[in-house]
Amino acid sequence: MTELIRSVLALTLAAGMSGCGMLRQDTAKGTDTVPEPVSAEQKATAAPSNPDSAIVEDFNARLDNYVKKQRALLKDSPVAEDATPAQIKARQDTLAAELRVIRKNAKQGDIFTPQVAELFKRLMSPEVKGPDAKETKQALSEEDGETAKVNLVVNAPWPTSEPLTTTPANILANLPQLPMDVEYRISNKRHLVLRDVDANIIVDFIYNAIR
Amino acid sequence: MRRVLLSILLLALTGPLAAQELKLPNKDGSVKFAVVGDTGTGGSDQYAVGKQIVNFRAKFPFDFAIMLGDNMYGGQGGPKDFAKKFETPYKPLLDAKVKFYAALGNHDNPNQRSYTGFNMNGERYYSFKPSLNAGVRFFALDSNYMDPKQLEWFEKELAASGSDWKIAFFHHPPYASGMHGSDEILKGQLEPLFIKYGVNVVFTGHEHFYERIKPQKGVQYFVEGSSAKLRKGDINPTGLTAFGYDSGYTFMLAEIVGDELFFQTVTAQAQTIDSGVVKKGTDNRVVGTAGQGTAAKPVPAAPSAKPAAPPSKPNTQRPTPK
Repeated sequence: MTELIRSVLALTLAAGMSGCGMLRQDTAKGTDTVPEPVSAEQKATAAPSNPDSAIVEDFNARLDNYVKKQRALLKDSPVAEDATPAQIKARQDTLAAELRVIRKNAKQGDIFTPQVAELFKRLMSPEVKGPDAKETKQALSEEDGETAKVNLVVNAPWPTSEPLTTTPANILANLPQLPMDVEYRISNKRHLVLRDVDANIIVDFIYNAIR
Repeated sequence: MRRVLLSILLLALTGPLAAQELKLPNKDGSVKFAVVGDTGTGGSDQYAVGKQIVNFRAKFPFDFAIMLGDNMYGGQGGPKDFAKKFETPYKPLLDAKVKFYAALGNHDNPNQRSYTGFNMNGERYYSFKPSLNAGVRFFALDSNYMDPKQLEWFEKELAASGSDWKIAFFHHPPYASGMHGSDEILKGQLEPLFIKYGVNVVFTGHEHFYERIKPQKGVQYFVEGSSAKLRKGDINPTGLTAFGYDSGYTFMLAEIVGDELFFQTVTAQAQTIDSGVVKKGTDNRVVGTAGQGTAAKPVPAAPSAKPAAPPSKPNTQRPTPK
Protein backbone atom coordinates (compact mmCIF):
# COMPACT_ATOMS: atom_id res chain seq x y z
CA MET A 1 0.00 0.00 0.00
CA THR A 2 2.86 2.28 0.90
CA GLU A 3 4.46 1.54 -2.44
CA LEU A 4 1.22 2.47 -4.17
CA ILE A 5 0.89 5.74 -2.27
CA ARG A 6 4.55 6.52 -2.90
CA SER A 7 4.18 5.80 -6.59
CA VAL A 8 1.12 7.96 -6.94
CA LEU A 9 2.79 10.84 -5.08
CA ALA A 10 5.97 10.45 -7.09
CA LEU A 11 4.07 10.40 -10.36
CA THR A 12 2.03 13.40 -9.32
CA LEU A 13 5.12 15.35 -8.34
CA ALA A 14 7.11 14.24 -11.35
CA ALA A 15 4.33 15.37 -13.63
CA GLY A 16 4.29 18.74 -11.98
CA MET A 17 8.07 19.07 -11.85
CA SER A 18 8.66 18.04 -15.41
CA GLY A 19 5.88 20.33 -16.48
CA CYS A 20 7.55 23.35 -14.98
CA GLY A 21 11.09 22.14 -15.55
CA MET A 22 12.12 22.97 -12.00
CA LEU A 23 13.55 19.74 -10.70
CA ARG A 24 17.15 19.94 -11.71
CA GLN A 25 20.37 19.03 -10.00
CA ASP A 26 22.32 22.06 -11.06
CA THR A 27 20.71 25.15 -9.72
CA ALA A 28 23.37 27.60 -10.83
CA LYS A 29 21.11 29.11 -13.43
CA GLY A 30 18.85 30.88 -10.99
CA THR A 31 18.37 34.61 -10.88
CA ASP A 32 20.24 36.91 -8.56
CA THR A 33 17.16 38.47 -7.14
CA VAL A 34 15.28 37.52 -4.02
CA PRO A 35 12.88 34.82 -5.11
CA GLU A 36 9.45 36.02 -5.83
CA PRO A 37 6.67 33.70 -4.88
CA VAL A 38 5.18 32.14 -7.95
CA SER A 39 2.28 34.19 -9.21
CA ALA A 40 -1.17 32.80 -9.68
CA GLU A 41 -0.70 33.17 -13.41
CA GLN A 42 2.55 31.19 -13.36
CA LYS A 43 0.93 28.51 -11.25
CA ALA A 44 -1.90 28.19 -13.68
CA THR A 45 0.53 27.95 -16.59
CA ALA A 46 2.84 25.51 -14.86
CA ALA A 47 0.47 22.65 -14.25
CA PRO A 48 -3.17 23.42 -14.15
CA SER A 49 -4.08 19.89 -13.19
CA ASN A 50 -1.61 19.54 -10.34
CA PRO A 51 -1.63 22.09 -7.54
CA ASP A 52 1.39 20.45 -5.87
CA SER A 53 3.61 21.22 -8.84
CA ALA A 54 3.23 24.95 -8.30
CA ILE A 55 4.30 24.55 -4.69
CA VAL A 56 7.35 22.53 -5.71
CA GLU A 57 8.15 25.10 -8.37
CA ASP A 58 8.03 27.83 -5.77
CA PHE A 59 10.26 25.77 -3.45
CA ASN A 60 12.80 25.19 -6.22
CA ALA A 61 12.89 28.87 -7.12
CA ARG A 62 13.62 29.84 -3.53
CA LEU A 63 16.21 27.10 -3.25
CA ASP A 64 17.82 28.13 -6.54
CA ASN A 65 18.25 31.61 -5.22
CA TYR A 66 19.95 30.40 -2.05
CA VAL A 67 22.26 28.00 -3.86
CA LYS A 68 23.29 30.59 -6.40
CA LYS A 69 24.39 32.93 -3.63
CA GLN A 70 26.20 30.16 -1.83
CA ARG A 71 28.04 29.06 -4.95
CA ALA A 72 29.05 32.60 -5.74
CA LEU A 73 30.71 32.82 -2.33
CA LEU A 74 32.37 29.45 -2.73
CA LYS A 75 33.69 30.38 -6.13
CA ASP A 76 35.79 33.08 -4.50
CA SER A 77 37.40 30.63 -2.10
CA PRO A 78 37.50 27.13 -3.59
CA VAL A 79 38.90 24.38 -1.45
CA ALA A 80 42.35 23.29 -2.56
CA GLU A 81 42.83 19.71 -3.64
CA ASP A 82 45.41 19.25 -0.94
CA ALA A 83 43.57 21.26 1.70
CA THR A 84 44.43 20.51 5.30
CA PRO A 85 41.70 19.89 7.87
CA ALA A 86 42.35 23.36 9.23
CA GLN A 87 41.85 24.90 5.81
CA ILE A 88 38.66 22.92 5.24
CA LYS A 89 37.28 24.04 8.59
CA ALA A 90 38.31 27.64 7.96
CA ARG A 91 36.55 27.65 4.63
CA GLN A 92 33.42 26.22 6.23
CA ASP A 93 33.42 28.89 8.91
CA THR A 94 34.16 31.72 6.48
CA LEU A 95 31.38 30.63 4.18
CA ALA A 96 28.97 30.41 7.10
CA ALA A 97 29.88 33.92 8.23
CA GLU A 98 29.44 35.33 4.74
CA LEU A 99 26.09 33.63 4.32
CA ARG A 100 24.91 35.09 7.62
CA VAL A 101 25.81 38.54 6.39
CA ILE A 102 23.99 38.30 3.09
CA ARG A 103 21.06 36.48 4.70
CA LYS A 104 20.84 38.51 7.84
CA ASN A 105 17.09 38.86 7.52
CA ALA A 106 16.47 35.23 6.70
CA LYS A 107 13.83 33.54 8.79
CA GLN A 108 12.06 30.26 9.12
CA GLY A 109 9.67 29.69 6.25
CA ASP A 110 11.62 31.62 3.63
CA ILE A 111 12.22 28.41 1.69
CA PHE A 112 10.00 25.96 3.51
CA THR A 113 6.94 28.17 3.13
CA PRO A 114 3.79 27.06 4.93
CA GLN A 115 2.55 25.56 1.68
CA VAL A 116 5.83 23.71 1.14
CA ALA A 117 5.83 22.52 4.75
CA GLU A 118 2.31 21.18 4.40
CA LEU A 119 3.17 19.40 1.16
CA PHE A 120 6.37 17.89 2.55
CA LYS A 121 4.58 16.58 5.60
CA ARG A 122 2.06 14.96 3.33
CA LEU A 123 4.81 13.44 1.17
CA MET A 124 6.57 11.97 4.18
CA SER A 125 3.43 10.76 5.88
CA PRO A 126 3.23 7.34 4.20
CA GLU A 127 6.74 6.53 5.39
CA VAL A 128 6.19 7.54 8.99
CA LYS A 129 2.65 6.33 9.44
CA GLY A 130 2.35 3.44 7.03
CA PRO A 131 3.67 -0.11 7.18
CA ASP A 132 7.26 1.10 7.02
CA ALA A 133 6.83 3.39 10.03
CA LYS A 134 8.74 1.09 12.36
CA GLU A 135 11.73 0.85 10.03
CA THR A 136 11.68 4.59 9.41
CA LYS A 137 11.70 5.41 13.10
CA GLN A 138 14.37 2.81 13.74
CA ALA A 139 16.50 4.45 11.07
CA LEU A 140 16.08 7.76 12.87
CA SER A 141 17.30 6.27 16.13
CA GLU A 142 21.02 6.65 16.41
CA GLU A 143 23.55 4.86 18.50
CA ASP A 144 22.37 3.96 21.96
CA GLY A 145 19.25 5.99 21.37
CA GLU A 146 21.41 9.02 20.65
CA THR A 147 19.70 11.44 18.31
CA ALA A 148 20.56 14.90 17.12
CA LYS A 149 19.08 17.41 19.53
CA VAL A 150 19.36 20.78 17.90
CA ASN A 151 17.91 24.13 18.91
CA LEU A 152 16.76 25.16 15.48
CA VAL A 153 17.61 28.69 14.41
CA VAL A 154 18.01 29.88 10.83
CA ASN A 155 21.67 30.66 10.04
CA ALA A 156 22.88 28.91 13.20
CA PRO A 157 25.43 26.13 12.84
CA TRP A 158 24.48 22.51 13.23
CA PRO A 159 26.19 21.94 16.59
CA THR A 160 29.44 20.05 16.25
CA SER A 161 28.50 18.07 19.33
CA GLU A 162 25.47 16.56 17.62
CA PRO A 163 25.51 13.67 15.16
CA LEU A 164 24.23 14.27 11.66
CA THR A 165 21.31 11.95 11.93
CA THR A 166 20.86 9.69 8.95
CA THR A 167 18.02 10.70 6.68
CA PRO A 168 16.12 7.52 5.79
CA ALA A 169 16.26 6.60 2.13
CA ASN A 170 12.49 6.15 1.86
CA ILE A 171 11.93 9.71 3.05
CA LEU A 172 14.48 11.03 0.57
CA ALA A 173 12.73 9.11 -2.18
CA ASN A 174 9.51 10.99 -1.47
CA LEU A 175 10.90 14.51 -1.30
CA PRO A 176 12.12 16.73 -4.15
CA GLN A 177 15.78 16.10 -4.87
CA LEU A 178 18.25 18.70 -3.75
CA PRO A 179 21.45 19.98 -5.33
CA MET A 180 24.62 18.74 -3.67
CA ASP A 181 25.12 22.00 -1.77
CA VAL A 182 22.25 21.37 0.64
CA GLU A 183 20.68 18.36 2.27
CA TYR A 184 17.71 17.26 4.32
CA ARG A 185 18.46 16.25 7.89
CA ILE A 186 16.19 15.25 10.74
CA SER A 187 16.67 16.70 14.21
CA ASN A 188 15.03 15.59 17.43
CA LYS A 189 13.55 12.67 15.45
CA ARG A 190 10.84 14.90 14.01
CA HIS A 191 11.98 18.24 12.60
CA LEU A 192 13.05 18.44 8.95
CA VAL A 193 16.09 20.65 8.45
CA LEU A 194 17.54 22.10 5.28
CA ARG A 195 21.28 22.13 5.99
CA ASP A 196 24.05 23.76 3.99
CA VAL A 197 26.60 20.99 3.50
CA ASP A 198 29.60 23.24 2.90
CA ALA A 199 28.83 25.90 5.52
CA ASN A 200 27.23 23.60 8.13
CA ILE A 201 24.42 26.04 8.81
CA ILE A 202 20.69 25.63 9.14
CA VAL A 203 19.09 27.21 6.09
CA ASP A 204 15.49 26.51 7.04
CA PHE A 205 13.44 23.95 8.91
CA ILE A 206 9.98 22.51 9.41
CA TYR A 207 8.91 21.80 12.95
CA ASN A 208 7.25 18.45 13.55
CA ALA A 209 7.54 17.35 9.96
CA ILE A 210 7.44 13.79 11.22
CA ARG A 211 4.52 13.14 13.50
CA MET B 1 46.52 -18.90 43.23
CA ARG B 2 49.85 -19.99 41.80
CA ARG B 3 48.04 -21.73 38.95
CA VAL B 4 46.09 -18.61 38.16
CA LEU B 5 49.23 -16.53 38.08
CA LEU B 6 50.92 -19.14 35.92
CA SER B 7 48.00 -19.13 33.52
CA ILE B 8 48.09 -15.38 33.23
CA LEU B 9 51.83 -15.50 32.65
CA LEU B 10 51.41 -18.17 29.99
CA LEU B 11 48.70 -16.18 28.28
CA ALA B 12 50.84 -13.09 28.36
CA LEU B 13 53.73 -14.99 26.83
CA THR B 14 51.91 -17.11 24.31
CA GLY B 15 49.54 -14.36 23.25
CA PRO B 16 52.19 -12.41 21.41
CA LEU B 17 53.62 -15.62 19.98
CA ALA B 18 50.26 -16.60 18.55
CA ALA B 19 49.97 -13.06 17.34
CA GLN B 20 50.56 -12.12 13.77
CA GLU B 21 49.73 -15.59 12.53
CA LEU B 22 48.94 -14.88 8.95
CA LYS B 23 46.40 -17.20 7.36
CA LEU B 24 45.87 -15.51 4.02
CA PRO B 25 47.69 -16.91 1.00
CA ASN B 26 49.72 -13.69 0.77
CA LYS B 27 50.52 -14.26 -2.89
CA ASP B 28 52.55 -11.98 -5.06
CA GLY B 29 50.43 -9.81 -7.31
CA SER B 30 47.17 -10.36 -5.42
CA VAL B 31 44.93 -7.51 -4.29
CA LYS B 32 45.54 -7.00 -0.59
CA PHE B 33 43.73 -4.58 1.68
CA ALA B 34 42.66 -3.89 5.25
CA VAL B 35 39.19 -3.09 6.55
CA VAL B 36 38.40 -0.91 9.57
CA GLY B 37 35.13 0.49 10.78
CA ASP B 38 33.89 2.97 13.37
CA THR B 39 37.41 4.06 14.06
CA GLY B 40 37.31 7.73 15.01
CA THR B 41 37.44 7.76 18.79
CA GLY B 42 41.04 8.75 19.30
CA GLY B 43 41.00 6.37 22.28
CA SER B 44 43.51 3.78 23.38
CA ASP B 45 41.61 0.97 21.70
CA GLN B 46 41.83 2.63 18.31
CA TYR B 47 45.56 3.01 18.83
CA ALA B 48 45.90 -0.63 19.90
CA VAL B 49 44.14 -1.81 16.76
CA GLY B 50 46.23 0.57 14.68
CA LYS B 51 49.38 -0.92 16.14
CA GLN B 52 48.31 -4.45 15.22
CA ILE B 53 47.45 -3.40 11.68
CA VAL B 54 50.96 -2.06 11.36
CA ASN B 55 52.38 -5.30 12.76
CA PHE B 56 50.42 -7.42 10.32
CA ARG B 57 51.33 -5.24 7.39
CA ALA B 58 54.95 -6.18 7.96
CA LYS B 59 53.96 -9.66 6.79
CA PHE B 60 51.02 -8.81 4.60
CA PRO B 61 51.99 -5.75 2.57
CA PHE B 62 48.66 -4.25 1.62
CA ASP B 63 48.64 -0.93 -0.21
CA PHE B 64 45.27 0.40 0.86
CA ALA B 65 42.56 0.21 3.50
CA ILE B 66 38.86 0.91 3.43
CA MET B 67 37.11 2.78 6.25
CA LEU B 68 33.47 1.96 6.92
CA GLY B 69 32.36 5.24 8.42
CA ASP B 70 32.22 7.04 11.76
CA ASN B 71 35.70 8.25 11.06
CA MET B 72 35.35 11.12 13.56
CA TYR B 73 33.36 10.69 16.76
CA GLY B 74 32.69 13.47 19.22
CA GLY B 75 32.29 16.43 17.00
CA GLN B 76 32.23 16.79 13.29
CA GLY B 77 35.94 16.71 12.73
CA GLY B 78 37.96 19.76 13.59
CA PRO B 79 41.64 19.88 12.66
CA LYS B 80 42.68 18.34 15.98
CA ASP B 81 40.26 15.49 15.48
CA PHE B 82 41.90 14.52 12.21
CA ALA B 83 45.26 14.33 13.94
CA LYS B 84 44.10 12.47 17.03
CA LYS B 85 41.59 10.15 15.41
CA PHE B 86 43.25 9.35 12.12
CA GLU B 87 46.70 10.69 11.36
CA THR B 88 48.38 9.66 14.61
CA PRO B 89 46.98 6.18 15.18
CA TYR B 90 47.70 5.21 11.57
CA LYS B 91 50.86 7.25 11.12
CA PRO B 92 53.15 4.32 10.28
CA LEU B 93 50.69 3.24 7.59
CA LEU B 94 50.36 6.73 6.18
CA ASP B 95 54.13 7.11 6.22
CA ALA B 96 54.33 3.88 4.25
CA LYS B 97 51.97 5.42 1.65
CA VAL B 98 49.04 3.18 2.50
CA LYS B 99 45.95 4.84 1.04
CA PHE B 100 42.79 5.01 3.10
CA TYR B 101 39.49 5.16 1.24
CA ALA B 102 36.70 6.37 3.52
CA ALA B 103 32.93 6.07 3.55
CA LEU B 104 30.88 8.47 5.65
CA GLY B 105 29.11 7.40 8.84
CA ASN B 106 26.36 9.03 10.81
CA HIS B 107 28.92 10.77 13.02
CA ASP B 108 30.83 12.24 10.08
CA ASN B 109 30.67 15.71 8.64
CA PRO B 110 30.30 15.37 4.85
CA ASN B 111 33.07 17.95 4.56
CA GLN B 112 35.43 15.05 5.25
CA ARG B 113 35.06 14.39 1.55
CA SER B 114 37.56 17.20 0.93
CA TYR B 115 40.21 15.74 3.23
CA THR B 116 42.98 14.26 1.12
CA GLY B 117 43.75 11.56 3.68
CA PHE B 118 40.40 9.93 2.96
CA ASN B 119 40.87 9.89 -0.83
CA MET B 120 37.25 10.74 -1.57
CA ASN B 121 38.12 13.35 -4.19
CA GLY B 122 35.52 15.72 -2.85
CA GLU B 123 32.67 13.23 -3.35
CA ARG B 124 30.33 11.72 -0.82
CA TYR B 125 30.21 8.53 -2.90
CA TYR B 126 32.73 7.30 -5.42
CA SER B 127 34.35 4.21 -6.90
CA PHE B 128 37.91 3.19 -7.48
CA LYS B 129 40.07 0.40 -8.82
CA PRO B 130 43.19 -0.32 -6.78
CA SER B 131 45.06 -0.97 -10.01
CA LEU B 132 44.16 -1.09 -13.67
CA ASN B 133 44.48 -4.86 -14.00
CA ALA B 134 43.16 -5.78 -10.57
CA GLY B 135 39.80 -7.14 -11.75
CA VAL B 136 38.07 -5.50 -8.81
CA ARG B 137 36.25 -2.23 -8.32
CA PHE B 138 35.26 -0.76 -4.97
CA PHE B 139 32.15 1.36 -4.50
CA ALA B 140 32.05 3.68 -1.49
CA LEU B 141 28.50 4.75 -0.71
CA ASP B 142 27.03 7.33 1.65
CA SER B 143 24.38 5.33 3.46
CA ASN B 144 23.46 8.36 5.58
CA TYR B 145 21.94 9.97 2.57
CA MET B 146 20.83 7.40 0.03
CA ASP B 147 18.87 9.73 -2.22
CA PRO B 148 17.65 8.86 -5.72
CA LYS B 149 20.59 10.73 -7.21
CA GLN B 150 23.09 8.46 -5.48
CA LEU B 151 21.16 5.33 -6.38
CA GLU B 152 21.13 6.43 -10.00
CA TRP B 153 24.88 7.04 -9.90
CA PHE B 154 25.49 3.66 -8.28
CA GLU B 155 23.48 1.82 -10.89
CA LYS B 156 25.33 3.56 -13.73
CA GLU B 157 28.69 2.79 -12.16
CA LEU B 158 27.79 -0.84 -11.65
CA ALA B 159 26.49 -1.20 -15.18
CA ALA B 160 29.66 0.30 -16.59
CA SER B 161 32.01 -1.76 -14.47
CA GLY B 162 33.57 -4.73 -16.19
CA SER B 163 35.27 -5.92 -13.04
CA ASP B 164 34.65 -9.47 -11.89
CA TRP B 165 34.79 -8.44 -8.27
CA LYS B 166 32.49 -5.64 -7.25
CA ILE B 167 32.88 -4.69 -3.62
CA ALA B 168 30.61 -2.15 -1.95
CA PHE B 169 31.37 -0.52 1.37
CA PHE B 170 29.37 1.89 3.46
CA HIS B 171 28.28 2.46 7.03
CA HIS B 172 24.84 1.02 7.74
CA PRO B 173 24.45 -2.76 7.45
CA PRO B 174 21.63 -4.21 5.37
CA TYR B 175 22.12 -7.36 7.44
CA ALA B 176 23.21 -7.43 11.06
CA SER B 177 22.22 -9.04 14.34
CA GLY B 178 22.86 -6.31 16.88
CA MET B 179 21.17 -3.39 18.54
CA HIS B 180 20.37 -1.64 15.27
CA GLY B 181 19.60 -4.81 13.36
CA SER B 182 19.31 -5.05 9.62
CA ASP B 183 18.58 -1.75 7.93
CA GLU B 184 15.50 -2.84 6.04
CA ILE B 185 15.01 0.44 4.20
CA LEU B 186 18.55 0.48 2.90
CA LYS B 187 18.34 -3.19 2.03
CA GLY B 188 15.24 -2.52 -0.01
CA GLN B 189 17.09 0.15 -1.97
CA LEU B 190 20.44 -1.54 -2.49
CA GLU B 191 19.95 -5.27 -2.56
CA PRO B 192 18.18 -5.33 -5.94
CA LEU B 193 21.16 -3.47 -7.43
CA PHE B 194 23.64 -5.83 -5.77
CA ILE B 195 21.85 -8.79 -7.27
CA LYS B 196 21.21 -7.30 -10.70
CA TYR B 197 24.78 -6.14 -11.25
CA GLY B 198 26.70 -8.83 -9.43
CA VAL B 199 28.07 -7.13 -6.33
CA ASN B 200 29.88 -9.97 -4.59
CA VAL B 201 30.96 -8.62 -1.23
CA VAL B 202 29.68 -5.84 1.05
CA PHE B 203 31.53 -4.39 4.03
CA THR B 204 29.65 -2.25 6.56
CA GLY B 205 30.10 -0.91 10.09
CA HIS B 206 27.72 0.89 12.47
CA GLU B 207 27.23 -2.11 14.76
CA HIS B 208 30.12 -2.19 17.19
CA PHE B 209 31.17 -5.78 16.73
CA TYR B 210 32.34 -8.13 14.01
CA GLU B 211 29.83 -10.31 12.19
CA ARG B 212 30.10 -12.48 9.14
CA ILE B 213 26.69 -12.97 7.63
CA LYS B 214 25.74 -16.11 5.77
CA PRO B 215 25.73 -15.31 2.04
CA GLN B 216 22.45 -13.68 1.10
CA LYS B 217 21.21 -14.03 -2.47
CA GLY B 218 24.71 -14.45 -3.82
CA VAL B 219 26.25 -11.63 -1.79
CA GLN B 220 28.63 -11.97 1.16
CA TYR B 221 28.12 -9.34 3.89
CA PHE B 222 30.57 -8.45 6.65
CA VAL B 223 29.99 -6.10 9.57
CA GLU B 224 33.22 -4.62 10.92
CA GLY B 225 32.29 -1.86 13.33
CA SER B 226 34.63 -2.61 16.23
CA SER B 227 37.92 -1.11 15.19
CA ALA B 228 37.70 1.46 18.00
CA LYS B 229 34.26 1.08 19.55
CA LEU B 230 32.84 -2.05 21.09
CA ARG B 231 29.43 -2.99 22.35
CA LYS B 232 30.13 -6.13 24.28
CA GLY B 233 27.61 -8.92 24.11
CA ASP B 234 25.48 -7.08 21.59
CA ILE B 235 25.20 -9.78 18.97
CA ASN B 236 21.83 -11.38 19.19
CA PRO B 237 22.53 -14.37 16.98
CA THR B 238 19.97 -14.90 14.31
CA GLY B 239 19.75 -17.21 11.36
CA LEU B 240 21.83 -14.65 9.53
CA THR B 241 24.95 -15.09 11.59
CA ALA B 242 27.70 -17.28 10.22
CA PHE B 243 30.10 -16.05 12.86
CA GLY B 244 30.08 -13.16 15.28
CA TYR B 245 32.51 -11.67 17.76
CA ASP B 246 31.52 -8.99 20.24
CA SER B 247 34.16 -9.42 22.91
CA GLY B 248 37.00 -7.32 21.57
CA TYR B 249 38.26 -4.77 19.08
CA THR B 250 38.98 -6.03 15.58
CA PHE B 251 40.07 -5.25 12.05
CA MET B 252 40.09 -7.28 8.87
CA LEU B 253 42.62 -8.23 6.25
CA ALA B 254 41.48 -9.33 2.81
CA GLU B 255 43.11 -10.70 -0.29
CA ILE B 256 41.70 -11.42 -3.73
CA VAL B 257 43.23 -14.26 -5.69
CA GLY B 258 41.33 -15.15 -8.85
CA ASP B 259 37.80 -16.17 -7.95
CA GLU B 260 38.51 -16.23 -4.24
CA LEU B 261 38.51 -13.52 -1.62
CA PHE B 262 40.35 -14.57 1.52
CA PHE B 263 39.69 -12.83 4.79
CA GLN B 264 41.17 -12.80 8.26
CA THR B 265 39.75 -10.96 11.25
CA VAL B 266 42.17 -10.04 13.98
CA THR B 267 41.78 -8.56 17.46
CA ALA B 268 43.72 -5.76 19.09
CA GLN B 269 45.62 -8.51 20.90
CA ALA B 270 46.58 -10.05 17.54
CA GLN B 271 44.35 -13.07 17.90
CA THR B 272 42.73 -14.30 14.73
CA ILE B 273 39.07 -14.84 15.51
CA ASP B 274 37.80 -15.59 12.03
CA SER B 275 39.28 -16.49 8.69
CA GLY B 276 38.16 -18.09 5.50
CA VAL B 277 37.44 -17.63 1.85
CA VAL B 278 34.57 -16.27 -0.22
CA LYS B 279 34.23 -18.06 -3.53
CA LYS B 280 32.42 -16.69 -6.51
CA GLY B 281 31.15 -18.58 -9.50
CA THR B 282 31.48 -17.84 -13.19
CA ASP B 283 28.41 -15.59 -12.99
CA ASN B 284 30.29 -13.59 -10.31
CA ARG B 285 27.81 -14.49 -7.61
CA VAL B 286 29.11 -15.83 -4.35
CA VAL B 287 28.66 -19.58 -4.37
CA GLY B 288 29.82 -20.10 -0.83
CA THR B 289 31.94 -18.94 2.04
CA ALA B 290 34.08 -21.21 4.12
CA GLY B 291 35.01 -19.70 7.43
CA GLN B 292 36.71 -20.78 10.60
CA GLY B 293 35.45 -18.58 13.35
CA THR B 294 36.83 -19.27 16.77
CA ALA B 295 35.53 -17.97 20.04
CA ALA B 296 38.69 -16.35 21.24
CA LYS B 297 39.20 -16.46 24.96
CA PRO B 298 39.58 -13.13 26.66
CA VAL B 299 43.15 -12.05 26.82
CA PRO B 300 44.37 -9.52 29.34
CA ALA B 301 44.62 -6.21 27.60
CA ALA B 302 48.06 -4.75 27.21
CA PRO B 303 48.87 -2.00 29.67
CA SER B 304 47.76 1.28 28.28
CA ALA B 305 48.74 4.83 29.03
CA LYS B 306 45.23 5.97 28.43
CA PRO B 307 42.13 4.86 30.26
CA ALA B 308 39.85 2.55 28.38
CA ALA B 309 36.79 3.98 26.77
CA PRO B 310 33.78 4.12 29.07
CA PRO B 311 31.33 1.27 28.71
CA SER B 312 28.47 1.68 26.33
CA LYS B 313 25.20 3.02 27.59
CA PRO B 314 22.55 0.44 28.28
CA ASN B 315 20.80 -0.80 25.22
CA THR B 316 17.45 0.93 25.30
CA GLN B 317 16.26 0.42 21.77
CA ARG B 318 16.84 -3.17 21.00
CA PRO B 319 14.84 -4.04 17.92
CA THR B 320 12.69 -7.06 17.73
CA PRO B 321 14.85 -9.92 16.54
CA LYS B 322 14.24 -10.62 12.91
